[in-house]
Amino acid sequence: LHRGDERVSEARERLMRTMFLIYAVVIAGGIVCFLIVGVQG
Amino acid sequence: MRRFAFENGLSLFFLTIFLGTLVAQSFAGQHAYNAEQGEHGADPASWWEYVTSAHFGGAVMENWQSEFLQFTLFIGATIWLVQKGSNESKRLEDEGGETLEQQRIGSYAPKRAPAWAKPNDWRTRIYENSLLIVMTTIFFATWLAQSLNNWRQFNEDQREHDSATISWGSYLVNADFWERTLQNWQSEFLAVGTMAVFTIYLRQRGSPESKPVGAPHDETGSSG
Repeated sequence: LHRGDERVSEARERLMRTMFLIYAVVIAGGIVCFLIVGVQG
Repeated sequence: MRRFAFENGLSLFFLTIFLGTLVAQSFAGQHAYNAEQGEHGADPASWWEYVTSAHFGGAVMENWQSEFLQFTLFIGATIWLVQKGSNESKRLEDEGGETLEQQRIGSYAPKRAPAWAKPNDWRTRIYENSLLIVMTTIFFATWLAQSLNNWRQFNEDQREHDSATISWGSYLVNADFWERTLQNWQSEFLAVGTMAVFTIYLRQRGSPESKPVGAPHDETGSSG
């Protein structure tokens, strides 16, 4: 049971990390894209 | 899946409305841009041409940079500055970086603490400032992107009016750049200051951005 609880806790932490990564990718992607657009001029 | 949506509701909600409004901005912006192009007798831009234009890039980045500056300053200022009675402030006696015990650092770190909170060496110095470091980096990166896009747009306008173009360095001290920058900053600073002051006397039941409804006006830093 204890090992099962740990697995659930790890799975939830993975999902939280997924959310963090989605935001990080959106922000970094946006900045890189608009830096490229700005530099191209 | 339902559990994931519940546990991440706040970030999913804001991500969804962010993407929705960004797409809406691109279509509204394209429409406004093409109306202006038409007045100058120029060809209308396709949606893709518009979203890869300096016009759209500048508009997006100038808002991003001011938002990240707002939170960067808020995170930094609230370490040292307090506001009696405000939910946005910590308690007056906690002003400053606080003790290792309060921050659960080193020997005070619990078993499940982040790995870099435990050693109390250079790794902890980085980790304890990681939020401010990342937000500051994003602010400067978006401000740089804004300056490049605004500069490109400025020079396009100059060429349309048969005027001389300027270098990026000259654009950084140009009034056009600072007008675009400061108009965003002032609104962010007003909003943050307003939140700091309004949460002294006003309440929103159930929101952690407010004190509990029955909290006294002089109670500082208690989420509801």
